[in-house]
Amino acid sequence: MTDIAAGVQRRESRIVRTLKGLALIRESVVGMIGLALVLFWVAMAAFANQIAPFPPNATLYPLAAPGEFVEGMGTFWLGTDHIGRDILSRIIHGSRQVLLYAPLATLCAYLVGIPMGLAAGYRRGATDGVLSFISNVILSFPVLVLYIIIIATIGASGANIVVAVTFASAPGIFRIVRGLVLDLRNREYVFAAETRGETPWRIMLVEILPNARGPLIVDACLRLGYVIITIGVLGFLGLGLPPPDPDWGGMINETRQMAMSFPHMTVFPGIAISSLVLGFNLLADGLREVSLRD
Amino acid sequence: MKKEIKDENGKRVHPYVPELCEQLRKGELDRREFLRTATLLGVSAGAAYGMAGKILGEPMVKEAAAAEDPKMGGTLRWGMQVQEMTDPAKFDWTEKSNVARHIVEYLCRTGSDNITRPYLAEGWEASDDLKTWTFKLRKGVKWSNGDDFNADDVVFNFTRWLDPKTGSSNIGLFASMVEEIDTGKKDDKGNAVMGKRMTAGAVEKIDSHTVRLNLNSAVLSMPENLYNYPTAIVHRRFEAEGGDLSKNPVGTGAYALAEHRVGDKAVLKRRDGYWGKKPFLDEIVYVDLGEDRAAWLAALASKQVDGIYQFDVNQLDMAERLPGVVVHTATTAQTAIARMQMDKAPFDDKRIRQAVQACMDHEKLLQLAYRGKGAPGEDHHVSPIHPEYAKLPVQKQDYAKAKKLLADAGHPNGIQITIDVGNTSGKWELDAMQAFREQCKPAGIDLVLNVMPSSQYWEVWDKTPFGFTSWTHRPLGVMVLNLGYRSGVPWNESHYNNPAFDKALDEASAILDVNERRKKMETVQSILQDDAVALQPLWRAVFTATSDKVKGYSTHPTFYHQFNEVWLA
Repeated sequence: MTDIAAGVQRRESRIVRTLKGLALIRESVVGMIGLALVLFWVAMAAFANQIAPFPPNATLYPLAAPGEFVEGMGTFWLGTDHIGRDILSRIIHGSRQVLLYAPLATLCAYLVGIPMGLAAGYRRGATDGVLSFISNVILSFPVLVLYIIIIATIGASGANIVVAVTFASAPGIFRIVRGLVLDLRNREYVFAAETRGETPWRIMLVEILPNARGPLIVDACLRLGYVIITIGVLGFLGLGLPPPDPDWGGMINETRQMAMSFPHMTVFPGIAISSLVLGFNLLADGLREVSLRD
Repeated sequence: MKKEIKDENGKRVHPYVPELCEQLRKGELDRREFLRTATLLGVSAGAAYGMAGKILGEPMVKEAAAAEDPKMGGTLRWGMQVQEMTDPAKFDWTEKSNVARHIVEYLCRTGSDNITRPYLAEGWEASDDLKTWTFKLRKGVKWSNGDDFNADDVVFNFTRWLDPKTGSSNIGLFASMVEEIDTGKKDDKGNAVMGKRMTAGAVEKIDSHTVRLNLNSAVLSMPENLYNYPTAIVHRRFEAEGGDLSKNPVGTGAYALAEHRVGDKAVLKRRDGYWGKKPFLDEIVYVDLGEDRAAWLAALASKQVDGIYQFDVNQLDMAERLPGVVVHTATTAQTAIARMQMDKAPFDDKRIRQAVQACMDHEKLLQLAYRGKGAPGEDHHVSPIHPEYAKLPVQKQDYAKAKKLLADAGHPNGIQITIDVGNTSGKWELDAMQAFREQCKPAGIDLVLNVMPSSQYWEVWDKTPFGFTSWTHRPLGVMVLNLGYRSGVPWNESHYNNPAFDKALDEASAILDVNERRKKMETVQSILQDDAVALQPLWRAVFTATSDKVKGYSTHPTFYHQFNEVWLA
């Protein structure tokens, strides 16, 4: 067998190993509940057009109570809002927005935070000093205020939410990665790679990063939960996705004045947000539990 | 020569008054319209109520008399935005005038019953052709600095309003006292730039307490115009003394400004030496509760304030359930207009505007966005509660027409247009536009909503090609048309320019007989509706709330505050 073939086999087996590690989640009850919740919403988002009983923005019949049957239209299982839109359909379609922008924003934050953390932890010295200073400055802002300043400055849109989340989350990720790298850089396989004369970025990405994946996957799940809450909060503050497309936080904001009289308009989107956040948090707990068992 | 008709006190009565009485007797006029027109023609409110009572056999009823004995003293705390209050002639928010209305006063006053009564003017007479109006000013009125109020103050205010340099919207309101002149300048295309100035002799001082207004065309609504909120009478040295009411609050009103902090609070204290009846309240405090109206009702419920400026239709169910809170409703001509600037693409093509118009189902929008409380709009900005309102054929949603118009205009596959929405009169605006967006879809019109904070909207309201602007109630239909749709006036946000409309509006504004005026209004309304510059989903009812301790208060259709009659139990 050649060296190259051995390398390919080794890399394949690393991916397989990671997947096998993730598959251990089935041994954690908490993790399985979380996974089920997340998969439920993924299915809702994927088949929204087939599942939702009505178009999400159609103004059908205002102020229907949950479960109310309207002749010629059908049953509004979760009721309708003040301008007659079916809340169930809006929640189902709203899951698409959340499940598109939350993972996208988290991914972007990782794409920025990981290289920063690798560079700071591996190189240390001036690189570490500068990057740590920048991230400390950003982290010293209250995170909600930071979001509001960013969104209010650059405007509310899906892409801008991604930008804001990246900006506000990357320093936290940077810190985690940096801490992990400071430990991993003293391992023997890193010295071996250095001795082989491999470039620093190859060492960081091929030798160090894969060995830091465990805590990072757990962190990503938790972070996804925070990002979902953030998107909800921004929507509630009127800084979320522009109307009329359904956005869970925006749905609560639009109807909160009527929350005393028509609680169903705010309660159901609230349940949707919390169930998805809970799903990701339980999944993170399960993964942590499984990883500690290794 | 016509015979002069005099009343029992020997005062000349406008020759149209007997005709009015006859119309009331025959049932051609209702009581409210009779009172309104008679008082406009110089009959005192008391006498007009008396005439109506005699004719209809009803007891004489005065404006909302209190059943309990009023109590003196106390501080009324009212939740309302506290804004800058520099120049009453340039006010563009009713809230600014509400604080100022307790300091400076108006020549006439329109009550919450929509009847206009004497105020700083103790009476007025109109010539038969409605082109000459003589106002007798009240004697013995003193400014808070000790000066006498007199005709010089009134002449100063008119001269100032009608000078384009002042930048007051009153120049549109009093268009019949203004003439167009060539400024001598040329625009980019070499056309002469036209300007406006007060017609020579338009305001005439007859004696120390009499002022005559000489108009170019007949105007019926002169007394009502003189209670429009930017027409407060300021002191004749207002400009010489700095031109800032919040810094130099000289007025004839019953209250003196003690403190004024924008965005925070305004404190008014009752002053000695007021010419009129002594008001009950010692102090009025306006508390700025921010922009979030949900917080206003909460502030009232938690007794931080005794009244709030207004609340939204969405909060109605909650407000009615709050203990110790009284909900006040007023039927109004308040509305919001989705107006398109007819000189900006793509709205410079009338077919596009009409296509958008054809998509609108007004009745459904009223139900969806305003819980059916109000009336459907008709795209001509004249309300069914306006006396001169003419009923036009009901508009129907017509997608075939919309598609054909779009195709004719070169958009057979549909068009995307963006509307700015600022929710300046509440979230119902966004609700209406979200529902309208759905109504536009079947015709291939993609209506994009650009939602912005209300303060940001007021920066672009007259600049954006397509925006949803809220308009306050005005007692006559012609008033708002003169302010917002006449060619070249400052508040003409749609840049509407149609000489045929201007001419028809001139004619309608000059007719005294309501039935005759209504015939002319049919033309005015039809032209505006057909030009489709102003799409109007609905007329809305408005709501305010007070604590049950607040007595003697009734909601004015325009939210004008005047707390001289209000007392605390």
